[in-house]
Amino acid sequence: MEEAKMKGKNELLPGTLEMLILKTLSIESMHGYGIAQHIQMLSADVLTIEEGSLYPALQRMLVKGWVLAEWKISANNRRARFYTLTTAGKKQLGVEKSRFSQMFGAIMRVMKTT
Amino acid sequence: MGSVLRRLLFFFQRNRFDRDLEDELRFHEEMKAHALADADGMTGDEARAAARRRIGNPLRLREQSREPWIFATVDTFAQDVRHALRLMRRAPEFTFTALATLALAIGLNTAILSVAYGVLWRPLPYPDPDRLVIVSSAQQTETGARTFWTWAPVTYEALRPRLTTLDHLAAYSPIDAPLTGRGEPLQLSALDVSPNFFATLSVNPAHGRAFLTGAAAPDDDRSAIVSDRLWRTSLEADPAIVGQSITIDGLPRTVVGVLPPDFSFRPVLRMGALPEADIFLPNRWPGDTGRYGSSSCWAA
Repeated sequence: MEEAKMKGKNELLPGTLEMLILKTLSIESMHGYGIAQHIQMLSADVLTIEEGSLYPALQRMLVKGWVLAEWKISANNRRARFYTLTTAGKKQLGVEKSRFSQMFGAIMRVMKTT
Repeated sequence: MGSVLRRLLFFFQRNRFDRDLEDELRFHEEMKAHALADADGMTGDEARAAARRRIGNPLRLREQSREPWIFATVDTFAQDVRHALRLMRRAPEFTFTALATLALAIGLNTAILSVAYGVLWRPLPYPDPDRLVIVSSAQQTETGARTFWTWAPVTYEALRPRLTTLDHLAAYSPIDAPLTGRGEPLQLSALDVSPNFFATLSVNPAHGRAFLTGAAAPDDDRSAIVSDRLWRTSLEADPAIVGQSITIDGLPRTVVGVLPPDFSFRPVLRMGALPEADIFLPNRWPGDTGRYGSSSCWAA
């Protein structure tokens, strides 16, 4: 089960990756590896976030002020960078959720018509 | 805007950013290697190698992680500038020649235009400068028609009552005026002027008054008007200077006015510009038939 660099993996709806990260951080502050693991586990391995997408996305969210980053000691006693959701981030999560629902609903309506 | 401020901060903390990202990725790599070792039973080294491979190109990652922070246009511009400097350093003779040519061209142009401005384009420091004209005469000589810029005082006196298109006709003549009796004797550049000189230019002295004209003109025969510069340097900027006496060319003269600091009279004619005059002496050139190095300046 080699992780083929399938194009399919990068074809999330735009903004979905940020939404997933924001949601993950709304549960708990985590480091980058933890975020990727969380998403992968909960989606039963359907969604594998590549590092090449994850870290740039985290940087974008840092620039926009949706998350904060702090160096802390991880569970296994190593130094890692933990990301926390900000108030702006929480608001953005709501925005992304509604946008995604809208998109998803629209797509489903198109697909449901026979 | 918060994001712009944050990006500005990034600009100053670039190194720390790179280090942080490097540490972060190393941590991620270790965690991944650990997971792979547990799951697929790889050895430590194999796991690390596999993890590194899966994370992908670190340089590309760093580029993309930097991207949201940088001001793209500034960054590319800075890159271009650095590249250009490198190229220039590699070809020193060309760079030197190019720079020297530029410096020469810019310097020459600036010099020429500065002079041209002073002579041609700078507005005259008098009110209504476009109403002022200098009058010359065109006469037939043995060598053909010639233009004369100087006038005999008798001609000036003869013309004055016959003015139709001009309001005032003034005359001036550059002279040397030795000033004595106030410290060291000074050789001043001066102008003999007709009494209506300052009225023609519509200039009023800052202190005192202009020369008397008309019937009262003879009372001013022993007067003088000084420039602001002379007043400050040789007359100690004495506010009570008006009415005091100074000795010009051995003759006592009464100071009746001090000109404003920005006053300047330097008409440019074929002989070049006059030196800046420090003293103005009224002259009616009684019965003078000689031709002086003088020209007339007139207000239309």
